[in-house]
Amino acid sequence: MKKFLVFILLLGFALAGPIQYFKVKGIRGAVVPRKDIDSVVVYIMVQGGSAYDPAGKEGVSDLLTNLLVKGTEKYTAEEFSKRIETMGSEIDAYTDDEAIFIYGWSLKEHFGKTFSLVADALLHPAFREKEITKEKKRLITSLAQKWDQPAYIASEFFKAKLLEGSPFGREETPETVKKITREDLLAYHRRFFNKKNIFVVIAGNIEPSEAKGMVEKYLSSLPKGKKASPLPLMVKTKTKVYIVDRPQAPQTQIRMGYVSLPFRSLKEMAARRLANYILGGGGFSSRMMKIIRAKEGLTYGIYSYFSGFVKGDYFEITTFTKNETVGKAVDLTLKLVREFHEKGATQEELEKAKGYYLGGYPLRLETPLDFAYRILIAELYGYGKKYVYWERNFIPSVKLKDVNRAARKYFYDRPMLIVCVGPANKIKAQLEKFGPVEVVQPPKF
Amino acid sequence: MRRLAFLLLFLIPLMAFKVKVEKRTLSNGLEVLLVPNPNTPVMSFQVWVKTGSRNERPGITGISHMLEHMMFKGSKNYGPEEHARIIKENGGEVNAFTAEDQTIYFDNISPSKIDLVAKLESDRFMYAKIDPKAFSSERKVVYEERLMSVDNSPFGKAFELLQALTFIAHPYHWPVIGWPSDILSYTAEKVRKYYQERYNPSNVFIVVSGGIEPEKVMPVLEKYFSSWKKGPKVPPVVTKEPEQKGPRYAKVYMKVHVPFLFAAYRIPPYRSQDIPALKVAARILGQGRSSRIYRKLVEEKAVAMQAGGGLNSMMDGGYFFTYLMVNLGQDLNKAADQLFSEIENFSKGKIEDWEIEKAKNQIIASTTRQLERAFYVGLQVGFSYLYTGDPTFFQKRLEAYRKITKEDVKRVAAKYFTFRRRNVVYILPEGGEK
Repeated sequence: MKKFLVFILLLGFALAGPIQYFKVKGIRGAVVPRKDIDSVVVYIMVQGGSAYDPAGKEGVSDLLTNLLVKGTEKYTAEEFSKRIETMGSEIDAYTDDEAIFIYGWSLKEHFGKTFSLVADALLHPAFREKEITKEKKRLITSLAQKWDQPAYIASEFFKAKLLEGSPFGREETPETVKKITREDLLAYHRRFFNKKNIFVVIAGNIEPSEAKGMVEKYLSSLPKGKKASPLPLMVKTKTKVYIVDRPQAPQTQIRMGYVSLPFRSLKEMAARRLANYILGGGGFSSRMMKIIRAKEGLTYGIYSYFSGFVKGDYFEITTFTKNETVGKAVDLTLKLVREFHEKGATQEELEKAKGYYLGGYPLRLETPLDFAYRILIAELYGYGKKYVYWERNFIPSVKLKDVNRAARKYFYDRPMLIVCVGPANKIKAQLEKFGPVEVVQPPKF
Repeated sequence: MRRLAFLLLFLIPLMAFKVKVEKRTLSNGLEVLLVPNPNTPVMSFQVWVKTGSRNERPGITGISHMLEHMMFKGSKNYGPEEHARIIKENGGEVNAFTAEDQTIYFDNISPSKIDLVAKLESDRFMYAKIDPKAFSSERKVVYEERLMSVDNSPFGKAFELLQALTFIAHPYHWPVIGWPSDILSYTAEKVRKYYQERYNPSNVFIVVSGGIEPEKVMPVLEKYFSSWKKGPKVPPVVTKEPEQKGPRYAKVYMKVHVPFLFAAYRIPPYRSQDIPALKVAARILGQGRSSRIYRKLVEEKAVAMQAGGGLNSMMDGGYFFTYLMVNLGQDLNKAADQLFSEIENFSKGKIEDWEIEKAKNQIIASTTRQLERAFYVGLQVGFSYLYTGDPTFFQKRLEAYRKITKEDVKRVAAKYFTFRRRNVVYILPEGGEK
């Protein structure tokens, strides 16, 4: 094992130069130099996100990120897009629960201009009324369209019901979006877009000194501001089944899960990830895939994973099956979770899972963008610098007893929230044994 | 703006398209394309089979894809899914995908695992089991895949119908995953026969890209693949798509809140000299927020939530694909008229300097970005070889893009983006037919 680890260590360094963390004019960030490629990416995280939307005006951060690339004080939306795209560069922004992300990618020779436009979008968005009106219409339409995509709505509905009552379970609706004003967007921007609250990663073919120079040149006029405080996840899961009724659907989308305890250390995180790989995260290697897909032929895919917040996590299983076999698929899945909770993993399973993480992280850090995103995740969740190479830093020391402790602590079949998107008249009876069933009709738009 | 475009023309240099391909042949005639890159610790090992849905016929549509699934269900020395599990426990990714023109199997993993990968791949390519019991279970899996990606998905349904509308005679007419009744009808024996007829060195080539040393890779491939016997070539596809002489329309009523359309204008094969100009035209029309379609429908008229387009280029022809999703309360037909007017009048209007430079620069930049991953390097090389016999054709074509003029773009737009060549699928809310 030792020899193998040394090899992996060397691979890690072959991928990119050492990460250089910096603080320039009060702005924190990191540079990951890569000499062998022709591009550079800047990936900026602003802590905030949809969980921080004002009550009754859910959708502010979503609308704001759409508008970041729709014109600045200096350029109209059209001029901004032309400038970016004529260079062959890309700029985009999106919101998550606890952060807003904006990134710019370009060929090396255009990076200075691309960075300046990213900074312009970040610092000086125009939020013109004309653009706000258009983006609100688009956002409301996209909320309606989600209900046309069973897989998408299954995940969204599951999350909303599971986290109901917390800042993460609030949903944007046409009504909340309609209420948002330009002043709301400006207030949100003033509150979160500041030096204390952002983290900048620049990765690719660039000298660290040049990268830091750009941060100073283009971002130092950000206000000092205040860091956003993490939000609590104080909800408990109750065993219940929701059916989102789609009478004509030939197949049912299934989501199951619960709010989980957060892990206390990165070693415990590594043990939990290994455990999840064995149960449902490891593709064809997972127990779920072996039984539900390969043996029973009930689905094309079944996966489990944890989604994290700064102050908590939730566990989710995602699959789909034809309407006639919904009960069987849920039953077998729950049985696998129960068995895993009670009996844990085997040494052989653990070794294989370790092999996946230790052998495979160079693949997951192949491009500058991969590095940049991982550094931002470490920053967002407060994991620290060791998280960037968490596989080689924490996986080797995880023992079977650690994985089995994780299996008992984090994996169980009750309480379990189940959401099915399919025809209620065909699947309701199959689901009644798993908990009280509530049938929900899709909203009208 | 003109000055900006002028500068950019010279700012984008020939860059580091340093992809060098070494073409070798094993003693049994199996062709190998090696693409070493000493800067990456990743290897992409790809086995390309020159058969896809294009090489099928009614009754067995989807059989190439079904066989792709069965290739994971065990071979002489490995049990069901064991190949995939072994690759994963060694830190790799393994998968495959079937398309119209080919089936590609790949293992992305550390180059130090070359012996293991070659051993696993050769075993299934030479000795796949295709056991009736495993087949019966896997057919259900494929059927679920079809339900998920097509029958329970408005986008999947629209796309399937659009291709069927655009190609009436050519095998591109049927979906890669196959018609439902065909999926339910073929047997393990039929799939095995298809495997025996198609999967041999006459119809296969291997691409290995990434942090590899060619001189070390070749003996390994020779060791595992050289006993694989050559067989018959896949029969040529003789059917040609007749000229389209009028627009074609289809309407599907589904439970959707947001009506939308997909449309296609048929274009010539990948090898055609018109493709670079068409790709530039497609970029100007449909890609990015500065594209004509986006500016007109999303920004100026504000009727669409999303609108754009792109090119799908295949062996025997392809299409310029365009999509339009209207905002709630907007009339899809009216918006569609604006969309088609933008596309079909494109050749008659003025093309700005910045538009043409944008398209060229986007093509070059997006290729550069793809080449940051060993997997995409392998795909670029593989597609070039499959379609033209020249593994570095994609690099030569980048040169062709630089020479495209406004006149070239207008000429191809006038030739292909016409009312008569229009194919449209509308997805409309239930009850709309009344």
